[in-house]
Amino acid sequence: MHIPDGIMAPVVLGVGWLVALVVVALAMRKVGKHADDEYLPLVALLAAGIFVAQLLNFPIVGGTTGHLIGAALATILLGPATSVVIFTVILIIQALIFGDGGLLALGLNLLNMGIVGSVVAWAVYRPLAGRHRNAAVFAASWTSVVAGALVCATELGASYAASGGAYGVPPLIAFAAMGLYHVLIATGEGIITVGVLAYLTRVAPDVVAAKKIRFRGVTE
Amino acid sequence: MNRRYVKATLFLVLLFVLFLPLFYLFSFGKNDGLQQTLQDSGGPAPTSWWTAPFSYGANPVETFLVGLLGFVVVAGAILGILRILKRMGGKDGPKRGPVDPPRA
Repeated sequence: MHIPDGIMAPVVLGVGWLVALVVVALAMRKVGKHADDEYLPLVALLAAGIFVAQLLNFPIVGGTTGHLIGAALATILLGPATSVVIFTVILIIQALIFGDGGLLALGLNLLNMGIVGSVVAWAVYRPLAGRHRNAAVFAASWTSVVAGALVCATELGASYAASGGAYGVPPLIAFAAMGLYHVLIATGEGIITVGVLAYLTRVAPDVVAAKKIRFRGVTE
Repeated sequence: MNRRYVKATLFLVLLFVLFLPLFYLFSFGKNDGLQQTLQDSGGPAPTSWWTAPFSYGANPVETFLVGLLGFVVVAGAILGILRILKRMGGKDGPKRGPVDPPRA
């Protein structure tokens, strides 16, 4: 879901940058106040793991593929603010060093994968986690990917409308296609996230127990 | 670094090595959801004004090396940025506000 340069209208790119800069600044402020040295390696390891996981696309249907986004995983383990910071770093490195995602489109990529993915995952996971944890993890992962894809479809449709068809995709096609593919990708994301968290719960239960993670005020 | 994190790092690298052949077998060179949407709809072709120094590679060995490079760069960048943020945020830094007067 990394948006390359050249497909979104400039005004949509500008809105993406504006929203992303404000939210990233707030997230960085919050993380700076609450981060604890003890858990910095965990955050770094999780971010690096998400980067590597995003390299490995999995097949969905009709020759199309998708990859783990990881916003739900990062959010459930570390909270939405830390997740946004993680995604800011990952997406900048992907765009600058590996050419994955456009530099002008970086604001939109941050918005779709980092911000929407993290906030939606948190909003879905938090009220459900006490009842059935695996279902909550799956729902949070699935919803975060679909929400990010639908926001991306909105951006494609808005770009088409704003530019008279020079950029973007007609809104109906954007919603139908992005929705269809990402419902399937989201299912993969949900399965992987549930698996990773179940494994972590077994081998490192203190890491998964959010209240023990020293990002107080970020995860609690 | 805690031994636990070293073991976790090695485990992640091992998983990467195990899944890399499957990626090349089933997914390499195929469109993702957004690319497929753009192709289906005849949307605009992506342009690029920035030439990145690396790509994700064209064979498993290249992708493995690039993946390791990215792993190290991302982990290092996150550690550096979080330390800077923490220093600026001042969780353990000097306390702000009124300072007690020195005792006589």
